Amino acid sequence: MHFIWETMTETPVLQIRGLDARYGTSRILQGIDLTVRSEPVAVIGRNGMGKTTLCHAIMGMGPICDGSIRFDGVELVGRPSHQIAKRGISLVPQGRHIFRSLTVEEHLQLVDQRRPRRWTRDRVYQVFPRLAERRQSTGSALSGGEQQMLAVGRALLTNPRLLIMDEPSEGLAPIVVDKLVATLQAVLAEGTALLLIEQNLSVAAAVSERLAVMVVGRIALETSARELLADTDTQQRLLGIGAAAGFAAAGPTDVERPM
Amino acid sequence: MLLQVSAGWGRIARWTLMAAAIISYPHFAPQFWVVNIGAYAIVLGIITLSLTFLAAYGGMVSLAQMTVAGVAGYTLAILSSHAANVGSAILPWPWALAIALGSGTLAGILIGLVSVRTKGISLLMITLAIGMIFFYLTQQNTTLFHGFDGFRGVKAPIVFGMSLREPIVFYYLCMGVGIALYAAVSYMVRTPFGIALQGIRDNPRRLAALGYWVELHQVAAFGVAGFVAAVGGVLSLWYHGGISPGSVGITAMVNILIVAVIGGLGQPRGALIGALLFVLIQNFAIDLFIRERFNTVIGLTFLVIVLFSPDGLIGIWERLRRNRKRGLRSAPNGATN
Repeated sequence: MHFIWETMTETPVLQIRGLDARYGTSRILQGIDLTVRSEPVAVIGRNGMGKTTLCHAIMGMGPICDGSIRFDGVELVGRPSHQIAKRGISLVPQGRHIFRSLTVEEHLQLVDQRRPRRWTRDRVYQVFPRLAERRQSTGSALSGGEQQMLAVGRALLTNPRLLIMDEPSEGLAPIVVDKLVATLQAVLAEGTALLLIEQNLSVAAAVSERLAVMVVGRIALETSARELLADTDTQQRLLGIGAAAGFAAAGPTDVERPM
Repeated sequence: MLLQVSAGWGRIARWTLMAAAIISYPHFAPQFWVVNIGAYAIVLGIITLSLTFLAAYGGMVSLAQMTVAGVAGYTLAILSSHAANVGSAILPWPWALAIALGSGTLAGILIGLVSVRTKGISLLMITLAIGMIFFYLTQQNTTLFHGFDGFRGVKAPIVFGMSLREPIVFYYLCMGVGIALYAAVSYMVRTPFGIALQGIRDNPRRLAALGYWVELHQVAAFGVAGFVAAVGGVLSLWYHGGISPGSVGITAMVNILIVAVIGGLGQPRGALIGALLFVLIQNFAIDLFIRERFNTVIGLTFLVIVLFSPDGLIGIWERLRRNRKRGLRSAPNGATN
């Protein structure tokens, strides 16, 4: 009874129901159901399972969608990208997608609303001092880690209600990943909802307790980080992690390490 | 420190020298060099500037910038006193001028609305098609556009008792307007609108995902470029004293692209430099080679530039400057060794 009461009163931040998405004739997503409330959700899965397409579908960035994506109760399917972004969703895309010819400062200018908000340009520079040093460098001159900081800073500066991150740990040195995880936890503490897309189970588990495993365009399993880290058979079956034993051993210590 | 100070003075000296040269030029140069080379190169440069702005910062190469200039030119010609209506203007000239610039800007916006759904070659073809539609409209419509003959004997307005078409006045007018537009474009690309435009050029989908309405910005860029081209179109009308379908035909349209590529599509100043070289070739190819070989010379110049310096004359100049700097920096090392 308590459970029902809760679902009736709290409008989920993001509610995806029966989402099909396709590019041309190839169906990438098939009947996705996923709900993000105030606690973060991590979607994990191997390459080519449709994780990035899910991000693009939410942001209205290309795939043709059937089904429903509701953000704060408002239907997003069929709306153009810029309107979706304006409603308060920000995507940190896979591969960062920094503008080659714009400087760090110009990147932040683009999204700075110049209103007193939680995230300001100064705060982004405070959280990422490295970006302050490289203020006048163009996007093409930044290292991978710097680009990722900029991509995250840019997304936060829009002061989103929902932050979507597509494989933020990809191609980053472990120390940079730790820094990123710490930043994400700080962001979450302030009440921003998070949908994290990851291949790296330990990163996903460090940020989010709720995990959804994606296999060939479907959500194959919704579980908790604790359960999945303990269950090497399921890891192997759904994630096909060759070094599954290694993950199971490394995972819990990663989770418990104070960030 | 001393070096820095002297470098600062060097820059001031260079700018002063350039300003002095620009201002004194019409007083020692023959009229042909002042108007037919100097002023006309700036007029052509202004129309090309509108394309360079679109291409360099918006990543959109349009062939219809001459068309936009033509819309403004025709509008002003229709509203001005000219040979066919014997001296009576339909509207006072400031009104006519404002309407002409407005119609050019509007034409830019409309062309943008039609074209921004495409890019690259498709954008080029769509703008070419729009340009051809306007060309045939002017050529075949006799009631409004006077068909094949167009407008002749269009008078430039008289301000403070001086015709704006007086050689020296016209030169200063073009120079002043050219510098103002160049400064405006250089300023605009650093404003939030300009930064967003460059973001769109680099990655339109990403900018949309940051909450920017990409198409709106692109259409606005076409509007800005439309205004710049319209100014060029008005000056071109006053320079030629008229306008005819040939002014907006396919050769004229393609010439703007050629000027832009010769100068360098990457930077606004490429437009003015490309225009200067183009006008020089246009005027002197006849003396240097057999008559009517102007297009061969332009074609060869174009080919050489595209082959050896894809970023045009500006690119050549910048490479030379970089080499010279490197030479200067390595010289002291050479001495100590």
